[in-house]
Amino acid sequence: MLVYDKSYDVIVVGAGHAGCEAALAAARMGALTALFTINVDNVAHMSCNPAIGGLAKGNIVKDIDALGGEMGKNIDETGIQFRVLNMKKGPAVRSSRAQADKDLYKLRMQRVIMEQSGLDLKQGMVESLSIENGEINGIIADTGMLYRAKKVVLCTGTFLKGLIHIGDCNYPAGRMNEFASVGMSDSLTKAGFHLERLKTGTPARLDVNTIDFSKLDAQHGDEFAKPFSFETESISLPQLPCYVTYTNEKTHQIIRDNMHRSPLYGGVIKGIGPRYCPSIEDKVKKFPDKTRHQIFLEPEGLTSREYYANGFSSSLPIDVQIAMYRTVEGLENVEFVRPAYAIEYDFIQPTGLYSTLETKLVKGLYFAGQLNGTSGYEEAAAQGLVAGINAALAIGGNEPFIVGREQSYIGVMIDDLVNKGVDEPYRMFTSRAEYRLQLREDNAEYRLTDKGYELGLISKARYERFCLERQAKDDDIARLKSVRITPSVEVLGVLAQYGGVLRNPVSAFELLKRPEYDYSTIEKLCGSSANERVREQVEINAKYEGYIERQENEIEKFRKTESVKIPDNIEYEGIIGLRREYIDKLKTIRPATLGQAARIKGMTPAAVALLHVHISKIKNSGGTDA
Amino acid sequence: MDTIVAPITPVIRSAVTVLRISGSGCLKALEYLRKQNGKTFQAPEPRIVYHALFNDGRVQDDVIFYYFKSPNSYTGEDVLEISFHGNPLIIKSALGSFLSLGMRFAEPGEFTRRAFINGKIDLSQAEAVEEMISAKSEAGLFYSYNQLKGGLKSQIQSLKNLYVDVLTVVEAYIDFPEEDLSDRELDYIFTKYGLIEIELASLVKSYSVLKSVNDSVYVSIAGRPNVGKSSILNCLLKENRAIVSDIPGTTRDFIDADMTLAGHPVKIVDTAGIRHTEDFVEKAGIERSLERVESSHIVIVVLDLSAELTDEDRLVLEKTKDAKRVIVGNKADLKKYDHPTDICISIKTGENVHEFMSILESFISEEDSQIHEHAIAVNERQKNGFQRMLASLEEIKEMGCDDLDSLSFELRDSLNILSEITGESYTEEILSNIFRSFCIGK
Repeated sequence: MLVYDKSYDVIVVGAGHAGCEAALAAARMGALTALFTINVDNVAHMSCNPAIGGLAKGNIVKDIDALGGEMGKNIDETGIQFRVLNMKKGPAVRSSRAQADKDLYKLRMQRVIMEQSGLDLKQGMVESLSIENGEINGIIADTGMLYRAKKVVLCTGTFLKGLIHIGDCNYPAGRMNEFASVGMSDSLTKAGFHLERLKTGTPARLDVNTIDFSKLDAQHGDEFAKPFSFETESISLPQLPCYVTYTNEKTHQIIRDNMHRSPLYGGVIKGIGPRYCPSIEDKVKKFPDKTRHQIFLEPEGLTSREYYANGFSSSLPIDVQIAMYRTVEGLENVEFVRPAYAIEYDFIQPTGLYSTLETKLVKGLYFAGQLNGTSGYEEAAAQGLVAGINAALAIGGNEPFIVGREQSYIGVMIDDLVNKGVDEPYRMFTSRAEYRLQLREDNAEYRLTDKGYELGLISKARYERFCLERQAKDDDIARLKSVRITPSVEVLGVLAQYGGVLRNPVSAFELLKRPEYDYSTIEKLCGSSANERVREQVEINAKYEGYIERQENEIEKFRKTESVKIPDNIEYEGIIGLRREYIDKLKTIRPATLGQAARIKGMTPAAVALLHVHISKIKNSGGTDA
Repeated sequence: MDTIVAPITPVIRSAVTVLRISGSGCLKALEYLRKQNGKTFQAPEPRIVYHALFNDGRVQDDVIFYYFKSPNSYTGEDVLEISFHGNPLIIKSALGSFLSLGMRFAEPGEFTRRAFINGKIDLSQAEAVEEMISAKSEAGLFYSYNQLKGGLKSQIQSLKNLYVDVLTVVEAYIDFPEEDLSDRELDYIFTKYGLIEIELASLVKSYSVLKSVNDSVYVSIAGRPNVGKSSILNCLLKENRAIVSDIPGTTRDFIDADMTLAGHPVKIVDTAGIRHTEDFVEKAGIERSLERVESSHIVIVVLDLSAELTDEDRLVLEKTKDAKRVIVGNKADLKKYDHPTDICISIKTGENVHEFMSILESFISEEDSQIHEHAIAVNERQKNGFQRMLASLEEIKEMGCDDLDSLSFELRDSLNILSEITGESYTEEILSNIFRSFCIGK
C-alpha cells in the first residue's frame, strides 16, 4: 500500500459545514490537520436553502461564534438579507436569520481554510478507514494512498450511499450530480457500525427571468442588519428581498392526481423524512383542509440567476413538478434550472457516540453532522466544532470539552442525540431546551467565551473586549440599583412621555423592570456611558430578573445531578434490584454522569436512585467497584 | 441538597408526632417557633432540647425541638426534629407551612438514602436501602401517581392535556415565526385558561375531600340478618361513647356512626343484612351494602354460632375474602357449631368482648397510620403544587402575545409540577402535537 509521507494529528473527511468547523478548530488548536473533500470547489456548499440561522439555529450560530467557530463570520461577510425573528415575542425567543450569497459563502470559507496554517485541503474520495486494535490510525483514499492520522472526524453528510429520487427515476449521488460514497459505508459496516436510512428533500431552483415578481409581496430584511458574529462591525454586501407566494387548489389537485407516482407513497423511499420539513405532497395529504401553502422565493445570490422555492420540495416526477409549480401565482411561466428531488442516505444512531462525539466502537474516530442523523447547516457546524475541538484535545490527553444543556443549544442537541437517538432527521427547536431563558442570542459570549478563550479559539483582543464589557455590565447594574429616582416634576415629565407615572422613590433598576420603559428612559433620568451591547444586557437582566433567578435555581439542581460522575469501570450487573432492561440501557449509552443516566430514554427515577446509591457506595469504599 | 421534611412517626391521634427536617435550610422552620417570652430562637445549640410555642397562623401547639449539626446527625446533614402533640390536623398544617418555606416532602426512604450518601450508615445497611427502594419501584410505590384513585388520576391527566394544548400553540408560534399560522389559533389559548382554572380549583377541592375521607378508618359490619350485627354495633357504641350520625330506621340500608377507638377516628357502618332475595328494593339495598363493605378498610364479619352455616353466610365470607377482616362468631353462650372464626364472643354475656375489642383496635391502629402516612405524603405535596399552579395562572392571564417567552416559562413551570406527579415528560409530546396540528415546513 502507498503511504503518504506526512502523518497528521487530525484528518477530517468531508468539507461541508461540519467538516469546515472541525478542521478549522483542530488546526487552530495546533493540531496538524488535513481536510478531505470529493470536490474542493464545493467546500461549505449550501446544498439546500441559501440561508443561515432561524429559530434556535440562529442561537447555535452565535454560540459557534462565541466559541471561536467560523460560521457567524462567514455569513456576516456573504449575507444578503438579515432579520431578527420573533422581535416582538420577548428576548429569549429571538433568533437571527440571514440569506446568503451561496457562491460567496463557499468562496470565503474555502479561502479561510486555505489560509489557515497547519491545515491542508485535499480533493479525494475517502474509501475506507484504517483501524488497528479498535483504534483509528488513518484513512485510505480512492487513489489507494493511506494517510496516517491520530484522530479522524467523519462528516460525510448525505454522501453515504446517497440515492436521489425524482419520481420513479432514481440514481446514486451524494448531492445532485455529485458522486455518492459507497466504499465508506461498507468500511463502517465492516468496523461494526450499524447503518440506518434517512430521507430529506430540496425544492426546485427557478430561473429569475421567468418569475413575475410584480404579482408578489416582497419581504425585506431588517433596516439595520444585525451581524451574527460578535466580531463583525457591520454588514457590507447589498441587501435583497425575498418574495412570498402561495399554492392553491389547482396545485393541490395536480398533486392529488399524481400521488401514486410519488416514490414516497409508492414505498420506493424507505428512509424516514423530517416532520418539520415535509414535501409539498406530504402537506397536501396531511392537511387536506388547508386551501393554500406558503412558498418563499429566496435569491441564491447577488449575481446568481436562480431562486430557491422554499416550502416547495417534492419527489414527484419532473412533469408533475413543472405542472404544479406553474399553477402558483407569479410562477405561471416559470422555467426550472434544477428540479426538486428527494435523497436517501446512510446514518448511524448517535447513541453510539460519547458526548465528545467520539464513537464508542472505535477509539479516535469522531462523527459529526448528518451522519449522526441531524439536519441543518447550523446543527452540523456545531457538531463539527465540538468533534474538532475534542479530537485536538484528545491528542494532548486533555480533559474533553462537553457542552451542557444549560450552556447552549449545542449542549441540548448533543445530549439529546447521544441519550435518545433519532427517528427522524434531528433539527433544533427552542422548545427542546429546558433553560431557554438562559440560552439567548444576546448572551452567547457570557455563556461560552471563557471556554473559547481557554481552548485557544478566541483571540486575546476579543477576549479582553468581552471582559471589559462584562465588567461594564456589572458596574452599570450596580449603579442603577443605587441610583434613586424620585417623583420630581422633571422625572414625571420624562415618564409621562412613555405613559408612565411614579408615586414613591424607587431605584433606577426597579424602574427599568416596568414594561413601559426601556434603557433609553433610564438614560434620560440618570445618564449612561454604556455601549449598545451592555445596554441590552442590563435591560434584559432587569426585565427578566425574577425569571432568570427561578431558572438559575433549576439549573443549580440540574448541575447537582450532573456533578455525580459515574466511574468508567462501573459494573451495572452488581446493582441489587436494578432490572435487566435498565442495565442494558446503561451499558449501551455508558452515561458519564447521574444526570445523563436520568435522561436516557425510558429510565425511571427509581432506577436512577438505585444507581445513585451504588455510586456513593463505590466512592465510600475507596473508588473501586466490588 | 435541598431541605426535606417528613413525619418520622405515624401520623395518628397519639401522644406525640415527630417531624424531621433535614438539609442546610432546616433552621428556617424556626420562623414558626417562639420562646415562652415570645422571642425568636437565634442559633439553637446542637443536641439541646428546647421548649417552644409553634404558631403558623393556623394552628398552635406546645412543642419541643432539638437540633443536630452536620455531620453529627442521622442523615449527616443539619437536622431539626420537632415533637408535636399527636394530632393529624396540627401535623398537616405544620407540614404545609414548612413546604411553603421552600422545603420538599421527603420521598420514601430519602432520609436513609441521604444518611448513606453522607457515609452515616454502612454497606449492609445500604443494601437494605437498595432493596427497599427497588421494592418500592417494583410496586410502583416510588411515585405515588399510580396509587391515585382513578378519578383524580384522570383529572390530572386532563389538566395536563390542557396545558399541553396551550403550550403547543405557544411553542408553535415561537419556533415557527415564518409559518402561515393564523392568529385565531393564538386567541384560542386564552379560552383555555378558564378551563384550566376550573380543573385546578376542583383538584384542590378533591384534595380536601380525599383528606376528610382519609381522616377516618372505615369499619363495616357484615353478615346475614339476625346474626347480631346490631348488638355488636351497640356494644361498640356503648363502650366508646360514640356519636351516631344516622338515626336507625327501617328504610335505611346502613347506619353510620363516628367514634374514637383507642384514639383513632373511626367510622362504623352497620350494613343491611346480606342475603339471597328476589325483592327488587331489598336487592338494591344489599348491592349498596356490598359496595360499602368493599370500600371499607376493615370488615367485621359476624357469624351465628348457634346456627348452621348457610349459603348466605358463605356469600358474605366469599365477598369479604380479600378484605382485611375479623370473623366473629357471636352467641358463644348458645354455641352449637364450630365455624371458621377468628374469635368467639357473646355480646349477651360479655364473653371475650374485650379480647375482640383489642383485636379490632390493633387492626385500626395499623390501618390508621398507613392511611395518614400515605394521604399526607401524596396529597400535601400535590395540593402545594396545584396552589403554585393557580398562582402562576394568575400571572399567565396577565400576559399577552408580546411575552411568549415568559408565558411559555410559566406554562412549563406548571407542566413540570404535573410531570413530577405523573413522572412523564412532555417535550416530545408538544413537538408531535405541533407537527400534527400545524402544517409546518419551509
